Amino acid sequence: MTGFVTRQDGMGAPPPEHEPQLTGAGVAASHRGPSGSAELIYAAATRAVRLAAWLARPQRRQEWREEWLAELWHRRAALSSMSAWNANTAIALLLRTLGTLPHAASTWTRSWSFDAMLQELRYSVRSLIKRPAFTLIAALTLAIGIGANTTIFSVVNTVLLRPLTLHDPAGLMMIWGRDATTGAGAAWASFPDYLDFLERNESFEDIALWRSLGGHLTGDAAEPQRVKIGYVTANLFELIGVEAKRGRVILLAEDVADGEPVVMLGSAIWRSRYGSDPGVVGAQIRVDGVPHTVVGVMPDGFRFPEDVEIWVSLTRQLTSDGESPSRGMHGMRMMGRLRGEITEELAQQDVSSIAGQLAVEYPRFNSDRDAWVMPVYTYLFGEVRPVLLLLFGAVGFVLLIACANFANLLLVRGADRDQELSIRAAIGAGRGRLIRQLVLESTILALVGGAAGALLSVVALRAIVAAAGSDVPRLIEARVDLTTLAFLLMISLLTGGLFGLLPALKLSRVDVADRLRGQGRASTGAARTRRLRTLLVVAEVALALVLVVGAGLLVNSFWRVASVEPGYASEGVLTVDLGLPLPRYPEPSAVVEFYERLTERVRGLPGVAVASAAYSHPVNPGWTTSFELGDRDPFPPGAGPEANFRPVTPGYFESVGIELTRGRTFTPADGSSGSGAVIINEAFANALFRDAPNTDPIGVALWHESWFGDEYPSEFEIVGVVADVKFRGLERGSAIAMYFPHSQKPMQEMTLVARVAGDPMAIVPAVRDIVGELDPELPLERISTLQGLLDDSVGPRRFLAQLLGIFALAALGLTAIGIYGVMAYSVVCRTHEIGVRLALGAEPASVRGLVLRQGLATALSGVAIGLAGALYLARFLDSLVFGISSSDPLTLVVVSSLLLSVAMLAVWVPARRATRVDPMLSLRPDR
Amino acid sequence: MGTMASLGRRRRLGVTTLQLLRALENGSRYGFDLMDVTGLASGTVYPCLGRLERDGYVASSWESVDDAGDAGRPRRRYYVLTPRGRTAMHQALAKLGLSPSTVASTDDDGTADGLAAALEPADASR
Repeated sequence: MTGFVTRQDGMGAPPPEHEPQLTGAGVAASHRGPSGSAELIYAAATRAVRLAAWLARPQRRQEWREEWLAELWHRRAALSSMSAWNANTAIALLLRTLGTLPHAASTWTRSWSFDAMLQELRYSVRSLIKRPAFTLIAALTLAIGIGANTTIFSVVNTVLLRPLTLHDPAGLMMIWGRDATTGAGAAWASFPDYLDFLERNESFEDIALWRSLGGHLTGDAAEPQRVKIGYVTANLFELIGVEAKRGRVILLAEDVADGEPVVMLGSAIWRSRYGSDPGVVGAQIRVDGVPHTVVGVMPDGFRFPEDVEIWVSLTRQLTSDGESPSRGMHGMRMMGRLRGEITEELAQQDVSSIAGQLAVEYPRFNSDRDAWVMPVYTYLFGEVRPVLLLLFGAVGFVLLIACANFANLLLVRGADRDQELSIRAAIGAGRGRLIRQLVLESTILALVGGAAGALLSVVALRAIVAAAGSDVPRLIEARVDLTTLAFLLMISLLTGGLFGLLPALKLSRVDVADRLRGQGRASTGAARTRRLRTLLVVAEVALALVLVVGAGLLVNSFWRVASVEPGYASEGVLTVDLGLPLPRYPEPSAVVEFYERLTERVRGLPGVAVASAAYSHPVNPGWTTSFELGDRDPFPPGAGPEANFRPVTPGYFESVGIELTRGRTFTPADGSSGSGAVIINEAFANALFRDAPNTDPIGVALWHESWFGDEYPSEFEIVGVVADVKFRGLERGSAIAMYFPHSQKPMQEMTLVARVAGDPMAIVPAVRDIVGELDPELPLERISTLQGLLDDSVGPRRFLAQLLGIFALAALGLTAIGIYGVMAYSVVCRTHEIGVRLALGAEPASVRGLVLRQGLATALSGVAIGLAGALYLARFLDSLVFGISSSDPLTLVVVSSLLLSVAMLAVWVPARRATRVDPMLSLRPDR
Repeated sequence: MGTMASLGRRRRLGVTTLQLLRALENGSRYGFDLMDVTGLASGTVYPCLGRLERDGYVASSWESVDDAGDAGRPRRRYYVLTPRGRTAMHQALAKLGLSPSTVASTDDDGTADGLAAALEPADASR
């Protein structure tokens, strides 16, 4: 475009004179002036313009560039002539070139002004409002998909993605043993082991040791409170890079045998017990009766390790009595930070070699004990991670199904709008503009769906936290927060954009001439998109099948777990945990006496049939200890069996309904002064008398070390055999167990179990009074029922089955809508054809069959693909199914039939409608 | 190719647009000059000029090669107000309750800030 185009409007002034009349020489002279830096900046500005020119529309690129360069040149010339050309004015000029970016962008959008955008937006909204049913269904479809994803995302984000409170957790490794029976990670180290590891290892910058135990907080104005105490070595905090929010952490100087007793509070306790009082730092409180000085408060949410609530020195606890801790007390956990260059493999070799040395040096305690390293991330989240990823995968499927449905709805509606699109194209809307319009509409729909999804996920998240808050670490912190909302916005835009684009591309290919010739409206539009729509439905059916199979397997597994016979009568039993603090009950006899008096008085309450106390109730897995059997040679060091250790008071087996199969149960005569008695379970009898199955274990002697001094027996006679109990969980086999009389193994922490006629919770106030009279400072902890504890133990599995079940239902519903939509529309499109058939004498049944067959074929293709997918993905469920194979044929068949039935149901309505087509109407040309 | 949106449609003129139109009416012709006079950024002025041209409110042309070449300088693109643009501007101003004379008085200071200031209260009361 050169020269001046005269407009016939009298406005066309000739090119003006250039105000700053500079000669080329003048400009050149001024360039040689002192402003060398200005020239450099000017060069940068012209470079910027040339670069930005590449962003401009190619057809306009050259004149675009020319205009900018000319303006720059003239501005420099003008400034030079006024002797104002310097670095400052040059920078102003350079800044002005920032405008090249929006300017270049604006060359692409001929009508993409704000006004036009608003207009298109208004148009889109109007066209969505005009079809409320479509809009509602499409938005709801997406709301379900997006809401489910947002919910699970916020759970995964809270539990897995959000960085741990630990600094650089990648370098942190648990040093770990393996539970002999389960192979799972287990506490490994004793204090002497730890010292040896600390000294001998070459892989770790530092190693910390801890254990967590229940204890009591007293010595302040508040009620006595049971808390979970972390006994930790003081280097733990530096190792994980966490500092106190107030005050300080435990010092290394305090973590010694004669160190000052100090305690750090978790923020939850600080808030609930001390009302967020900053003055508590420096105050004295009693931890298990021993005065400790509060030195710090930890940051919010910090509960490492093992959700403890307060922290005290481990070294001081183990060594302050002047005795060195036993090497055999292996129940503590070690964690180290890898040196920079050390890999997990090298560290593994290192700890294995140290464990090997210790096994040789201390055969009595350490033989056959290998050690393992495990990333702390796996230690913390190893169990929940596969579950959460499974849920994430499941909601991903729901979203895909919703998106396929959404695209389908858009296609169907787009075909309806053929005429509108054709007219718009005929009067000049380009394909790009049509696509933009369609994508804009789908994006608005997706955003509306996303907003509804956000509401849905707030509600769903609350339900999830309420249902499983205590089963999944950190789940209670899950919120619909900014990250979640950003995720929601992202998937809304993606689904709206991407799944709107696909139909838009298809629909915008309008053949104007064809359409204006008056060709059948729906038939052509539908023909163009039919294959795509059928494909989308096939995909939906396949995805739904995979999801429903997965849900079916897990629901089935849950039922199987829930119907496992636990080995006791869980109904009607109250359980209350109690823990007598050692400092106030140093004498084992006082402990025995307390529980004797307690159970006796509870037994006297109205409605109570039996009451007793147990070190671990039937839902508590407890822990194991080694023993020797009387008539056998001692087991080789370290190779002996270990049995579950379960001291109980008389009446225990009656209280929880464990069946006695041989011998007798405990009586008050099995006291501390009497001879040792022990009751074993069936598993024990079977395992240890396997070589002589007919031998009666009754009367056999069993040795178990006395931990309470010489006045307590270490030789026990097997007096009875009881039925096995699934105390390790319903999903796991029975372990061998030995029950001792509590009077001979006087443990401090016991659970009161009382079988009650009627509601067990009704006697809680009376129990509280009794405990208050026996010891006013003793709190009742974890008041529950045996049935409640049993239900809780399958909580995570029930949670997973429920969620997947809900997702599967959503998938089924969405798929039904999808099939219905496609088939109903297909019938509308084929009205003409069906009319001809009927006019020519086709039976309604055969017409119905035609539609049903088509629907069935679509569903069958989806089911076939889905089955292949389900079989392929089954292995990811291997660790989660119980009692069935992850490719359980029955489940596959049932689910396939279910899906086909749903499909048939969805096709039935349109098929019936097809038979009612009026041949006369359908054959009219204006259709 | 015209689109439905722009056919036969009257653009609603915002303050920025009015500033530009006024500056053009007062004789500014080049992109950079318009920025100086209106105080608007280049990223606003150029896309806006593009839209105004598309809507027929503004026409742009290039200096002839000869004119520019003679003086040994690059040719510049300049913009002028079309009658349609002038009419639209005056109608918009009238709608805002600003008589041409009011607007004319804002020209005295040579910038359109006065215009913007004059427009604002009326704009807000709309």
